[in-house]
Amino acid sequence: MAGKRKANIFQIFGTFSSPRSCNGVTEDKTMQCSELQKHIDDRLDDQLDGEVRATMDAHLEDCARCRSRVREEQAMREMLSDIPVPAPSPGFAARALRQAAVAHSVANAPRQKLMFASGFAAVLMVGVVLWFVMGI
Amino acid sequence: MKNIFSIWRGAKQNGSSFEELVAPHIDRLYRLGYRFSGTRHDAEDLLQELLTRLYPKGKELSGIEELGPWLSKSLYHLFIDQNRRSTRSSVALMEDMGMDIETAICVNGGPDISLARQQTYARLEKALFTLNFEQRSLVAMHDMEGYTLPELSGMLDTPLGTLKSRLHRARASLREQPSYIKE
Repeated sequence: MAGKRKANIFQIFGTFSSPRSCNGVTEDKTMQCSELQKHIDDRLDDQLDGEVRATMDAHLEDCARCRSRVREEQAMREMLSDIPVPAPSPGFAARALRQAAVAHSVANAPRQKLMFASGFAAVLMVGVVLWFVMGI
Repeated sequence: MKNIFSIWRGAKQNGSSFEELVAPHIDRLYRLGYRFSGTRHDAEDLLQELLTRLYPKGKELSGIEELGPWLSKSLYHLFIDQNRRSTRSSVALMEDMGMDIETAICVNGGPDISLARQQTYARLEKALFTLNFEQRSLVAMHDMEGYTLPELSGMLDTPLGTLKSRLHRARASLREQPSYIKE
């Protein structure tokens, strides 16, 4: 079952003590900033396989700008999930279930009435026939 | 006469089993409905409509293995169906009804949340409501209510890659909105 979850990416990237800004220069990095941007969603969604993830983490360790982008994205998601949901009106659940049942019975009422009328007519007819037969 | 009683008894049994099956999921469905629609009233209406439609299928529900995700999926499809009929954006519809979304969200936030935080939420939610309803509901399910991509892929019968692209586009649109601000 899905639950409210928060990636611990702040814990991962919050531990770097002396970040160096790469300013878009990739030098000896195996992943470029532009390439990393494409993987941010997957990283936060835990959808990256081990190798790409390790490469990305290595890049983030050196690149303050990319770390900032990741943090920004993470912050947006946290804010989205934190937007409060007001409680439903008092007694809503019970009322909604009751109304669903009532709507169902109202929709079926004509059919039930027809069934009852048919039964009643059949009983009446049998009674009339019996009365007629016994009367004779 | 016996038949009448059995019909009545059967209806009652069907009703109680429907209630037992669905009641544990109502809170979560309401939350999702609120994320989709943006107001308590609309969320309650949406959920009421779903329950009314599902009630006659009470017996079928008992055979569904993962009822929670199935109900969420049903709510999503109902929301999408209802909104496809409307060409106006949610923000425009709220404005039509004389509603100020920022004020509405601030009030909904309650007294426990600071004014600054309420305003941030309000701006973010306003940006959310400028997305189309399909993008918004996807962000709502994934980023707000915590459904994972594999769960959503199964629920919505959509390939994982397609979902990722849609979510990526939705978030990019969100960031481009003037009312979206960074904290």
